[in-house]
Amino acid sequence: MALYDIQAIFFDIGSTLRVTDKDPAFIAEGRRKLAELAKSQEDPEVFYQKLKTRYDAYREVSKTALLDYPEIELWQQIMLPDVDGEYVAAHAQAFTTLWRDGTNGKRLTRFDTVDTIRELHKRGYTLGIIANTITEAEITDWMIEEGISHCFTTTILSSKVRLRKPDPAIYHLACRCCGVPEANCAYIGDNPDRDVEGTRAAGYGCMVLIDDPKKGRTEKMRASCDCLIENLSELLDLFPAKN
Amino acid sequence: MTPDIQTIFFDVGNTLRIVLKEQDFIDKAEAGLMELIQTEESHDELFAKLEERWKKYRKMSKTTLLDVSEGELWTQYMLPEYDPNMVYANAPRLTRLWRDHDGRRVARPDAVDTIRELHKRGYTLGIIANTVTETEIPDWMAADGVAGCFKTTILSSKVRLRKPDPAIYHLACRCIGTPEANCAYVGDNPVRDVEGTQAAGFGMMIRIDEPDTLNNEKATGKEFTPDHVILKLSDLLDIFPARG
Repeated sequence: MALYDIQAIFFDIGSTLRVTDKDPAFIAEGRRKLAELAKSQEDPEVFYQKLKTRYDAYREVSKTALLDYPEIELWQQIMLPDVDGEYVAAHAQAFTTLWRDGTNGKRLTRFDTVDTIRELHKRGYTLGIIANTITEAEITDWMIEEGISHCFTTTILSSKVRLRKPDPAIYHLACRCCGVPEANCAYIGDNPDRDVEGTRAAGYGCMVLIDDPKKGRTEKMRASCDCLIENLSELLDLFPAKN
Repeated sequence: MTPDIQTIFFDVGNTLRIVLKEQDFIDKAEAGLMELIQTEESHDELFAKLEERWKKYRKMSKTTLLDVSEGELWTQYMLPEYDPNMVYANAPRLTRLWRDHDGRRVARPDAVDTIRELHKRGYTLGIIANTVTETEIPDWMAADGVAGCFKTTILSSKVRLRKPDPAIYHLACRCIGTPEANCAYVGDNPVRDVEGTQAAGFGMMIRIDEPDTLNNEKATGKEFTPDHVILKLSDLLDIFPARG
C-alpha cells in the first residue's frame, strides 16, 4: 500500500490530537465538584477513591469485553448505583466531565493539531475520529471550540457505538460510515499495542504512531507501525494533496 | 418449545410512545428552529428544503442501514450551507425541534406501568430504536421515571447501525449479556422489526398493532409473521409472567 492510495485518515484523540496537563489544583477542583454534584457527604478524595475502585473494575471488564457503556448507563449502573437513578441519568454528562477533570487533568490541544487537521482537510482527505472514551460530548465540543468540526466526516466514540478498540469491528464500522475501504484508510494513534493490533486486524492501509522520544520507547514504536512521527505536522510530509 | 425469555427489547416510536399532531406545538417547534439558525429564508422555503433533504437522507440510510450522528446529520445533510460550527453546536436542539415538527411525543397510557411491572417481574429491559435523536429518548425515560428500568439503550444515531441490520440486534445482546435466543423484541413495524429480529435469531417477536404504522407502511408482501400480536402494551403482562 502506497501512501498516495490513502483516502481517509482516522485519528485517536488522547495523547494524539490532545495531551493532558495534570495540574494538581485543577484535578482537586474536579474531585471537589464531583462529590458536590453527587451530593456526597464524604471527603471529596475519599469519595473519588471509592469511585475509582468501581471505575477500575469497569475498565477491566470493558477491556475484556471490548465494549463501553454510554454515559447514563456508566453512571447509573457502575459508578453511582447508590444514588437516585433519575438524578444520575439527568446529570450523567456533567459527572463524566468532572470525572475526567478529576482524573486526567486539563486536556490541551497539541500546538500543531488545528493547522494540520485543516490542511489535511484542504488537501482532500476524508478525516475521522476513532476513540475509546467514556465521554459522549466532550470531543465534539472540543472540535467546535477549535473550529474544526467541519473537517471530520465521521466521529466514532466507543461511548456511543459501544465497540472498543482494538476490536476490528469498530474500525470496520468507521469505514462503512465514511464509505472508504479499509485498505485506503490510515490511522494515527499513540498506542503501540491497541492501535496497531486493531488497525492491522481490520486491514487498514497505513498505521502511523506519534511518540514523544523522551518516553524511551522509540524502537518498539518504530517496529510496530508504518511511520513514526514526533509531531502531527509531519503528517503533511506523508500525505500530499489529493488530485 | 417456548423460549426462555430473560430480556425484552423495545422499539420506541409507535411502540412505547405515540405522536400527537398538535398544531400549536408544531408551529412553536418550527418557529424555534427558524430562530435557532437565524434563517433569512421564509418558513415555506426552509421547510420544503429540509423535507427534501430529509427524504434523501432517509432513503440513503434505509439502503446503507446506517445512521449518522446528530452533528453530522445537520452539518452534512440538512444545513450544509450554514456555519458548520454553529450548526454542530446546536445539533441536539435542532434534532429535537425537527422531531417536534411532527408533533408531540407522549408515552402510551400503559407504557410506564407495563415497563415498571416487567422490570419488577425480573426481566432485563432494553431499547433498540432507529432514531436521529441522541438525547430525547434517555430524557423521556428520566422524565417518566423509568430510566432505571432499562439496562441497555441502543439508538441508531449513536451506534450507527440501523434496524433491520441483524448487527444492531447482535450488538444489543452483546451489551446486555443475554443470548439472542433468550431475547424478545416488541415493535410496531411488520417488516423492519420482524425481519431483523428473526434474522438475528431472537427467541420471540411481538408486534403491537398500531394503525398509524400500518397506514404509513405500504404493504410489500414481505411482511413477516410475529410470534404474538398485541393491541396494547399491558397485554405483555399476559405473555411474560414473573421470572422465578
